[in-house]
Amino acid sequence: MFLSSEAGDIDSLRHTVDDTEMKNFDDNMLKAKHDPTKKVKRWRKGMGIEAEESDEESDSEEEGTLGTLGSALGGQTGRREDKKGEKSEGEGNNTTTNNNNIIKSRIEGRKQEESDSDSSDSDSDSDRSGRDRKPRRRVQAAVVVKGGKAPSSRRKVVGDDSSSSDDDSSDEEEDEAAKRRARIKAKMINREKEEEKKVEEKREEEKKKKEEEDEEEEESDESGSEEESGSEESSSEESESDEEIPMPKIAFVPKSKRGTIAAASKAHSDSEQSKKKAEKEKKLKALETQMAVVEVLRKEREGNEQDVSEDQNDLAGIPDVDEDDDNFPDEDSEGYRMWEDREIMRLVEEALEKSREKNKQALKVEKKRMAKMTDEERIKEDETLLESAKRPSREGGSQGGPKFLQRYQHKGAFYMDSDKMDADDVRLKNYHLQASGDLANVDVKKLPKVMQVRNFGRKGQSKYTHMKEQDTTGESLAYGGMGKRNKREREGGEDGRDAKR
Amino acid sequence: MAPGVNTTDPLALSVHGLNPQNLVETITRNKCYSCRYWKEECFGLDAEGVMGKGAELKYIGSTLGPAFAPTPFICLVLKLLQISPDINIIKEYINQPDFKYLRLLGLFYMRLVGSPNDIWSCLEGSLSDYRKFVIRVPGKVGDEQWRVEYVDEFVWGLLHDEEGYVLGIQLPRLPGRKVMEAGTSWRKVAAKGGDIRRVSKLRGDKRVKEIAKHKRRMERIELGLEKGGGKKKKGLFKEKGEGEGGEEEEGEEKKKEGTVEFWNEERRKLGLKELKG
Repeated sequence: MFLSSEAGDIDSLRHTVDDTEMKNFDDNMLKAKHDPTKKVKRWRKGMGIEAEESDEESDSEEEGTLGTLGSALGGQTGRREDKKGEKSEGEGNNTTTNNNNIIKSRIEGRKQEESDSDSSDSDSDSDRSGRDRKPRRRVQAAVVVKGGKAPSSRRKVVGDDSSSSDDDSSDEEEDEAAKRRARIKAKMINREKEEEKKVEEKREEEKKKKEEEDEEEEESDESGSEEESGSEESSSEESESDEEIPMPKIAFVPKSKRGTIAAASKAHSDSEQSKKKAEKEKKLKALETQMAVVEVLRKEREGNEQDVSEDQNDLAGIPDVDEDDDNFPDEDSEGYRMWEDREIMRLVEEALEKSREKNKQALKVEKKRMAKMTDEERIKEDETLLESAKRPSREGGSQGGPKFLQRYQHKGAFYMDSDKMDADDVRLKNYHLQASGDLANVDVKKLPKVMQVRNFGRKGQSKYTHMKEQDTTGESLAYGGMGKRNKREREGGEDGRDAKR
Repeated sequence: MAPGVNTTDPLALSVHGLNPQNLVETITRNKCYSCRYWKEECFGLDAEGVMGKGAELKYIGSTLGPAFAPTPFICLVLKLLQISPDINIIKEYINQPDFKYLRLLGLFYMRLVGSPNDIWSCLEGSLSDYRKFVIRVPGKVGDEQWRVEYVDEFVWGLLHDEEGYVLGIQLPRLPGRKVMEAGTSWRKVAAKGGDIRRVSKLRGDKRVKEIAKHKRRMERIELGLEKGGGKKKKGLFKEKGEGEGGEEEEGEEKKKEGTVEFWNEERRKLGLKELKG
């Protein structure tokens, strides 16, 4: 064991009860502290606490250690441990040492878990001091810790160190330890038997299942740890604690005894209530499915209706045309009269088919005739056709066309029904009569050429008289034109002569 | 095509060297195959069943809306093409006087698959049917979808439509009536009384002659085969003595231009009311 001073924890020393311990401590300090060949970590204040209590620590302190250990580990291993700790704490006189003891016990635990020999050594030590319970407890604590924390090689080293320094005759101790173990085993067996008996009694009582369970738990726990001694004290303690607070149990069920979930549920459903409930649920479910089906059908129908309205069966706005069909055919009906008109038009179309055919033939003949003609003949014919197609001269006519340079008046574009026309209708009026004005009584043709323009002598005078004068078609020799000169001679012989003059 | 519900009857005569169903173009045909009316109402129909469905029709049409949903009418046409009933059954469809939509169905089918003799004799017989019917035209929602037509007009369209595209179906080419008359087979039909048109009531009607005369002249003028246009206008500007010559056909010149009598003469020719004078 290494010293608390070595751990650098001075606080741990404050709570020593008597002076002897202090003395011991001082003596130990003078001894060789560690093996110089081995690396030892030095601990400083505030770095973390690792202390080892000395063998000479008081009984009460031991108890406190255990108790606090239990409470400290309670969070990890379960409340049962915790309670045990509390109980033992109660036993212990010094409750103020809690914190330090926790630490100490932890360290001890770690050490125990690290090496079997170590633990046996400590046990032997405690044996020698004549205290039975203490080492047992310690071991228990160690076992508990085993599950909680992983060992570290460094500590192991340290532990070995300390143990070697403490032990004088290891062989003797080993023998003793063996004996002790045998004794413990025997005790344990006895105790187990006793426990079983107790359990049976309790079962008969049928009172608290929880208690039973707790007992079993303890059993399993105790069987799990070899070194645990079956002392009556501890068992009684535990049973007391069990009675006080019922605890939920986490029991291990061997695989062979485990049932399936289905079996469990079946067993559950066997009860009448569950049967009734199931029936109810079944009915509800059937109703639900029915409703769902109805809903789906309704939706389908709606969807179909939409489709239909898109294409076929939506007859919204369809006109009613069947009113007269019952009397069909009826020659006095309006429908018949309308049909007559249509029929006439059709017959006309049919009749025209012949004339159309004739027209086509005539056009063909005409084309052939034209093809046979020479160019000169064609030109001549064209001229005569043009001549005949010419509108009669309107100029100067007493009734008709406008005079040369006469101001043009549009007759006006007003809608007039062609059905209604009287003898003095405006449409029958001659619109080309000379209106009274400047040139009303003047024959413009007889004026000098320069004066034959509109607005002569005024600002708005124009050099243009009429569109035909500007017409240049046929002046080019290309495209069958006759040339400018020819055209002039041909068209306006008089004009040409006039110009010469 | 593997035999199935939409396969053409194996005993169906090929129309114009093709599967008759191919007269309906592929897209429309497939739309029909997948539409509800076809699957629900047209499944396994025979000629009699089609007759029942045709009698129930409320309108005719091809395809509707942006989805080109086929109408029942076009579905039934396709069904007829599929099952290819005897042509005499179709003639019965056409000749029965009670159900105009069934008649239209028969007429349309006849125009698709019939021989020219049958087409001309059957369809022209229905030119005297002046009943109204409803045709549904594809259009946007809210637009006017319904159109009222007359059976005789529809039939006339089937016979004389230049493009031959009726209800979304390209009609097979039909020899003209002139060609038919020139052939020998038509004479047989006519001998049996199949040439109904020839005995149309209005054939000898005065109005027909008048209008035909007028139209004929207008057409000739248009083609340049006849001088025309503006007889009236010429008359307006013509002085009494100096007639242009060339239009001495009728006695219009006797009337003074510009006088009421003159105009009345003109108006009479056009079929208008006479002036009060």
